[in-house]
Parts: sequence; C-alpha cells; structure tokens
Amino acid sequence: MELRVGFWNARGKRPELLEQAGSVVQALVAERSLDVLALVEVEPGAMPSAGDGWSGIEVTDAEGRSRWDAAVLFKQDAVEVVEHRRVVKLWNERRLRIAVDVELRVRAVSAPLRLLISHWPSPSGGAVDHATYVRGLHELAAPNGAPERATVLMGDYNVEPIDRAYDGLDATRDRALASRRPSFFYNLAWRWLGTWSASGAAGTYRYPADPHTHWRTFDQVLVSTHLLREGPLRLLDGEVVERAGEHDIVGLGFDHLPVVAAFQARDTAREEASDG
Amino acid sequence: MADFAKALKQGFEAVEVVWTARMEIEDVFARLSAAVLEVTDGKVRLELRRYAVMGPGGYELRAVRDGTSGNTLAYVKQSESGYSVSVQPEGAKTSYIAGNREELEAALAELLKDVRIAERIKSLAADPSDKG
Repeated sequence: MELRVGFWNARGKRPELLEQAGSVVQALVAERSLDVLALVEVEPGAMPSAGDGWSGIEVTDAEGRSRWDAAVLFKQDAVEVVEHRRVVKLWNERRLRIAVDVELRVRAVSAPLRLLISHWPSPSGGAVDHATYVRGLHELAAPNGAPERATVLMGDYNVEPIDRAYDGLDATRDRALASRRPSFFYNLAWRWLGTWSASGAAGTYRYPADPHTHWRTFDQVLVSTHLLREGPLRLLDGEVVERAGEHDIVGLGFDHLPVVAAFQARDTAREEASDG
Repeated sequence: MADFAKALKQGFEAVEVVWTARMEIEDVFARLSAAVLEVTDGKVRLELRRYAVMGPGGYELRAVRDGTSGNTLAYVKQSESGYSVSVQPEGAKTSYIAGNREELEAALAELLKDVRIAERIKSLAADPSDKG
C-alpha cells in the first residue's frame, strides 16, 4: 500500500490558467494516484477541485499586507485532516509566512503525518534574508533540535537545495546519513537538479529570462528521519511531473512543475500483533 | 581516552545557555503580566499554567482576576532549550514562532492587539457595575 503526496505551485493568477489548473489537478491526482495534493498560488475562492471523494482546505487569508495562497486537497478515504494552522514569524516589523502546518492522520495505517507547506518570496528583493525563513521553518519543524514525529516539508522555497540558507535546516542530499541523524531532513530535490528529462526539463521552475539557465529547482520535498526508517510510513521515491493527461504543464503557461513523494504505508501495529 | 572534565565543562556551558534563555522568557512573560496589571488598574494579571495536553513545555496563558477562573488567552509551547517559543492565540488560526526575545516580544504584543484577546482582558477587568 502506498501514500502519495504531491505539491504544485499552480500559478493560476492569469484568468485563463485557472480553468487549466483545475484540469491539470484532476489529471495529476488520477494518473499519479495521489492521496494528498498541496497547492500554492491559489486565489481566494478558486481552489481547484480534484474530483469525487476528495475534499480540501483553503488557506488564503490576508496576513498583513500580503496573503496566504495555499490549499490542501486530500482523498477522504485515505487521510483525515486533524487540524491546520498558519505559522508566522514576526521579524523586523514584517510578518514572514513560514508555513501552513497541517496535521494529518493516514487512515490505512492509523499514523500521524505532519505537512509543513511553504511558499516563500524570492530573495532577490533583498528585504529579508532567506536564512530567516529557514530558521523559522526549523524552529517550527524541530523545536527541540529534531522533529518529534513524521514530518514532510514541501514548498516553493524560491531558493535551490544547494543554497547555504539550508544549513540552518540540517537538510541533506545523503539519504543514508539522514536516516541515522534524527535532526536531519532528507531533501529529495537534490535529484531534480540539472537535466533529468528527455524533453530537457532541468528543474522544477522554468524561468527563460535567466541567460545562464532556464530552469531552477525551487519546488522541494524534505522528509524527517521517521520517514526513512522502518515504520508505518517509509519514503519510497519522488518525482517531478511534466505532463498531466494531455497537458504539457509548462506548455500551458505554468512556470512550475508538480513534485510528488511516494511512501510505503504499512500497518506495523497489526503486523506485530499477528507476529505475536 | 575520553576527557570527562572537558565534556562536563561543555555540558555546564550548554546548561548556562538554556538557563539564560529560560530566565529571559520568564522575564518577558513577567513584564507582560505587569503591563496588563498596570493598564487594568491592578485587577488582571497573567499566568502561565502547565497544559499537559500540549506535552512537555506546553502552557496555557490565562488572564486571571482574584475570585474568578479567568480567561484563556493563548497556548504557549516552549522548547527544551528555551527558544523556540510558539504562541497560538486562543481561537486563532495563526500562530507565531519566536526564536529569540525580540520575536517573542513582538508575538506577545501582537497577541494583546488582537481584539478578541483584548476583549477577554477588558471583560475581566470590568467591575460588575461597568457591565450594565
């Protein structure tokens, strides 16, 4: 049994893309057998529908002069949203939107799973050091130095995995090391740097205005140690999705590609009981 | 061979950092309570009460007046080392994460500016005759 979780910056702010985002979402959840899909750049009242049997929470409230822009779609028979909250860091008179903190229960294995969904601004404005966002995320995810439960960080962080700002998060490309160090997060997105697709996709975000590379890897999935060891949920793999149904996602005018992480779901409590 | 003396000294230094952070946090909440007491003419003070539901480091921040059970204002979660501290105003969907004194003070100031929170303090401070 698998649990499949996706993330997509569904930049639907251009009116014609709103409808397209809906059809991409429906194709994406069907083809990739998703159970949860987190979205950002969602306009208030415009959360796409994933179809029958799906529900969602929209987090598009105002936050100071800006606005949250997230949604979480979930398959009702696969997961339950126990609670969710927005987490802000007040820093130098600014309200930094660190993450939407979503507590899930995975029904098949009765296991909790925490999702922290982020959409951070580009550091190019220079007003806020990206390391401050990373620090906020670390304080949230690992208040005592290490995450206390199975945690997935997903987001459009607007920096690449190689950025030194991540030093504050103990994020690594080294899965074996991360599985031994409780304070570490394994960042799947290291594998999505550079060209990996026959079509030439070389990241998750397409930005043709950059003369040196048209691709960046801003959309990332990081998992805590709990999800790398034997347990009710264990990371299998992740992928970047270029096509959904008949849609070439970038070709439609979207600039971000969805990313997906798959977890093996095992009812370890039942297994232990039957072994006993 | 392990240098136990050096290890213990490092441990002591770490303890010092944690104790300093905890005292600093206590001081921030004490000043917060003193400010509330002053503005309410000595009627309302704030208390941090352990809140087991939140696990270790979990507290309920309550506004209390003698002879009343008081009103919950927020839930506070403090890490083992002091910082970080999260402040979740009662009934709110936004919580604040603070990694140092400045950020904690900003979060608590934000809490007091929240109309629902201020109302809870104000209603507690009001004398029965004020309530009409």
